Amino acid sequence: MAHSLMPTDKTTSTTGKSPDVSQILRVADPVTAGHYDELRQADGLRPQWARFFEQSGLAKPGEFDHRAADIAAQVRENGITYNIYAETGGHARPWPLDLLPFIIEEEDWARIAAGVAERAALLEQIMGDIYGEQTLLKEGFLPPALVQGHPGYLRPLIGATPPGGTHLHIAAFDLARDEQGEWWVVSQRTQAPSGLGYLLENRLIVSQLFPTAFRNLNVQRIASAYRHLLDRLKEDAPNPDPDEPTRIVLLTPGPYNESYFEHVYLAHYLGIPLVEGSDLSVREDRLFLNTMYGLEPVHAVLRRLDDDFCDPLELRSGSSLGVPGLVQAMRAGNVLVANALGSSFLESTAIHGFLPGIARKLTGKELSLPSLPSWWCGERAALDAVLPDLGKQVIKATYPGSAERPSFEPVIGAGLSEEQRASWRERIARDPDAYTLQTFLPLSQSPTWDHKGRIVPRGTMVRVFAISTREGEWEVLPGGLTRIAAAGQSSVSMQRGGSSLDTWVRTQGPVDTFTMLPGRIQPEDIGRGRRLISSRSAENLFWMGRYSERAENGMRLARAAIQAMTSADTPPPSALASLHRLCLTSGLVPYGTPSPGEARDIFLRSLLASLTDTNAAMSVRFCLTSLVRTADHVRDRLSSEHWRLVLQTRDGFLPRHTRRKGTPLFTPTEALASLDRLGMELAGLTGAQADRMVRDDGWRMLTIGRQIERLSFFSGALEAVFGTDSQPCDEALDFLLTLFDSTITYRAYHQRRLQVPPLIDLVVLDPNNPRSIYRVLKVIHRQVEKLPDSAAGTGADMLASIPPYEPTPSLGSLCSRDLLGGWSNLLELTGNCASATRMLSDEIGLRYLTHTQGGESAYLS
Amino acid sequence: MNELDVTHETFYGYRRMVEIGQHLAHLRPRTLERQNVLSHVLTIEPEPAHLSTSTDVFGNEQTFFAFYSPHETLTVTARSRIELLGDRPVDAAASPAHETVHDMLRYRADAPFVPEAEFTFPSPMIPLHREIGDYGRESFTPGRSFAEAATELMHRIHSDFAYEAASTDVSTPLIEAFRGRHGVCQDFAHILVGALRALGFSARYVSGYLLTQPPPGQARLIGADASHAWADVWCPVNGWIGLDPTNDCLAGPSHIVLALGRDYGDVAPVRGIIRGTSAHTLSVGVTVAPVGEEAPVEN
Repeated sequence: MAHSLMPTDKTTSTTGKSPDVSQILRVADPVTAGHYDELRQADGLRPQWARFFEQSGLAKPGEFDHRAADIAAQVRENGITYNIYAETGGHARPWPLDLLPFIIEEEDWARIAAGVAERAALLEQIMGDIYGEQTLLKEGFLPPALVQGHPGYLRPLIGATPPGGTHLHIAAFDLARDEQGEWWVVSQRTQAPSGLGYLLENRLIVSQLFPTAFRNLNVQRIASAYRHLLDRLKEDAPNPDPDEPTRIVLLTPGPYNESYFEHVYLAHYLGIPLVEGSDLSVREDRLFLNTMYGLEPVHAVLRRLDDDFCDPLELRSGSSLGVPGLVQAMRAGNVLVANALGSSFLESTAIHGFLPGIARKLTGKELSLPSLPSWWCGERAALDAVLPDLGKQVIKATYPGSAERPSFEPVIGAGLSEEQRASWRERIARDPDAYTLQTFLPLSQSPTWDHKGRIVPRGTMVRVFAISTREGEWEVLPGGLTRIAAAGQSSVSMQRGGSSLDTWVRTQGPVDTFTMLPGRIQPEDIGRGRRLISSRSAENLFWMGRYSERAENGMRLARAAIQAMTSADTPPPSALASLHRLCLTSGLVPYGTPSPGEARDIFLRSLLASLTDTNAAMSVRFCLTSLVRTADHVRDRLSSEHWRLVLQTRDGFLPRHTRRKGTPLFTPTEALASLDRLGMELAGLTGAQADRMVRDDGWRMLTIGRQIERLSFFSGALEAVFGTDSQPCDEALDFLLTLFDSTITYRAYHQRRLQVPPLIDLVVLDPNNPRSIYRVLKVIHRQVEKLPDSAAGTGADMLASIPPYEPTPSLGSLCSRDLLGGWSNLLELTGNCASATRMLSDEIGLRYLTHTQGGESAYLS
Repeated sequence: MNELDVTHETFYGYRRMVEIGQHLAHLRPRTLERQNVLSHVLTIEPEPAHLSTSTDVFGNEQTFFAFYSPHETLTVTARSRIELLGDRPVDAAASPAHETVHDMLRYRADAPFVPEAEFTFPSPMIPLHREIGDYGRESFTPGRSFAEAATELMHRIHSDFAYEAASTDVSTPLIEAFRGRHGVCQDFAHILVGALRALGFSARYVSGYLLTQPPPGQARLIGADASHAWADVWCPVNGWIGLDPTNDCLAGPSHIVLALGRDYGDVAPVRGIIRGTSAHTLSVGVTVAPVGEEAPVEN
């Protein structure tokens, strides 16, 4: 079966004798005719691959599968995901990464690096010309249709020179090699190229799997390129105040973007805040970050948002992802946006046909790394020359994704029938500008492990990155994001089942050992000490705290309720009444649900159904979904374990089966099992929140959110018991202890039957019980006091309306009864606590969370 | 001497307080061969926290203004005095055959650059629709002079389409208005521009004002007029020719050019983004009157 790799020779390099790697050839499928074979040459393995297999330790039986499993585990553990747009629900998929690296030899790389740097420089010159003098248009080197007729030509930026003079700080090029092994540029990405984060993850994982091979193949390291990018941004960022640190942010479209993981990861790696458009605002042509402390200046934006989304005021009304006024701030020269807006016309395949001419004009030289031959059909001569040859071409949209013109996915001419070709010719002739033909290139094929004992070839394309290091100079990151086609596919697409490889660039010279990982601490980082918390992060953290606690309380209450409903002994009516009341106020059953005393089955059924109801605003499932949503927005603050734990609470809660419509998903037994598991996971989450997060103002918001929720629930629980019956029965008291998660403590203190005074002492007054009312009040006071000042007042101002945590009332007064026998002192306290939680929540929202987000917004036209 | 006073008032009423408002206005009439701006005053109420003025790529003056504190209404009033200098007569006979114009505007590596070609391409509010091109093509019979064919297309749009106030708004896609054969002046202009561009010609959108004559014996009503729109089409001999498909006429002594662009989106008189509420009311009033006319009557 699977493991046909069973070498008898197990000697390692320590004995000076290499393992027999020739068997690799025996398990490797041949490549398709017409494709370059990355693995083999005429007489066996290519030298780099022979070397790799000698050093990789893969020759041992089962090793391929072990390491492939390691990769899958690493991807899962690191939470590396990729969102598939087409998938409903938008769930993130594990990032596909294959075991074997893609290896580029030094002499190949030298040609690539030189050719790519030269191209980046050329594209930069084109940007400078098009947004300046426009001689390329005037002298006919570029057709107006590909510039002025391209939706990516942004008129508001004409005449605007970016700070530092560079438009393109990052340019990405997709390369592929032909049958002879020659490299060609297939496409170029200049707006907001993706891949710099994923390639880093690929490197970290794969290099760790093959440490010896990685070292002995002398693979060049990549960290310096990131440092240089950051240095360059810092240098170019217009910071008028030398006393202020230069602030750079990474702008993401948010968790719904396909590569959100990468944005989170890169922000982390570069040590810059991850922000969404709503975190930023423009005042008087300057850009600011909305923080808990007010508006803080931002000098540079590394953006992953496409051009036309960046400024809804000038570029694309209707987009809520951008920052109104950003273009004004750019024009005023007050902010560096990298890459500058307006380069997407360079991404059109049609441009490639004109680059050789432009290169000759601007540099007097030919491009050393050519583009695949490409013909824009809008030029009559080109159209006449290639249209008959549709079978050798790929038909591509000149304006992909444009709403103004015909747009479509690339079509491979060879795959079309004669009839289909004729119909394409007609389409093209009708609107030639919108079509571009590019020579079809059979992709070189790389070895990949198929998990079934074979090494199989897959079509390969490498994305390499040029990074601007100084005006007019580009450094090419020695590596790249190699993508491979899905089985049986002749083109590469991550959206359609492709995968990725780590890219190893070999060097004869010394490898660069610079690393970013421990994070170079800048003096100003230490001086400031305080990390800025954006208002949006603060808001999400606050709600993350509330939802964690609400889920936990809901879990405990639901469990107690189901147990009570299913136990052999029916609890007394007063206990059922308390239970009913609390389930209603906590939203575990909808209003109007009859009491279990009257209709036990209906109540239980309603309780079970509500657990998994996504619409009920307080159901356990809703809390868990909301927990994930809020946590997703602050993922840059969570460890990957923490994030996985959050996901697990949501994803593990639902049963795997489905049931007939109208029937609760859970039986009581299943619900109890699921709630138990959830209880453990939430305990883990609490641990992560308490012990794994930096205690800054963001953490403070989370803690306050949690404690507010706790206070609100506990007051409700006490009220449900003591407000229902002046003589609570044992079952009701027991129930209360469960909800306060204080049963064990109580038993430890008082090994006797339940009595009200010791119980009240424990759940209301005890300063050592983290779940007593006064303890919660104390935590709230302590944390609110430490909140920073805001324009609307200080944190301490808010404390006046929260009951003080000291002095505590005497147990006697809390337990004293009024004339009617009621617990009025106790109930007054719970009433005060409940209203304090509402007030505090509002005040915090007003002071820290809503600098600009008045909620609604509108476009006026 | 032909002088006109134009008052253009835009009022927004918000249901709740707006905390931040950022706006962009194109309200200063153009200075062109055919018209002079003698004076222009822009009044904004409340006073904006920030205001800046610049010229866009089409030569229009654009004014950005912003509010960073709560406000409940916004009134933007532009008062301009315009001197109309008269249009050059269109020499339809001298206009080349439309095939010639078409070829001039098409890219060839060795052909001279024609700056007006910028207006041959689709734009956000005027996407390329073959259907609209096919409609237009009927006027472009072989060998016909470009100006004559374009003018006939304007006549056809005027007679085939019904002017219906409020039948569309700024967000109605062009193709809907085209298929429904109705619209307001903005749609008429967009359809003419779209048809010409689909055929490879150069055409742009003109935002402006029209002097209307009050019924005999009655005084002019303040704010009774709306802003107007028509199209400019480019002929290598006659230059830009203003065609008003809503009124089936050439742009003439009653037309005042406010701004020029690819479509409405480039030159919207006032646009903006507000935060704090989404509910708002909008009213626009335009008054165009010859200078020296007796004080108009309040509407």
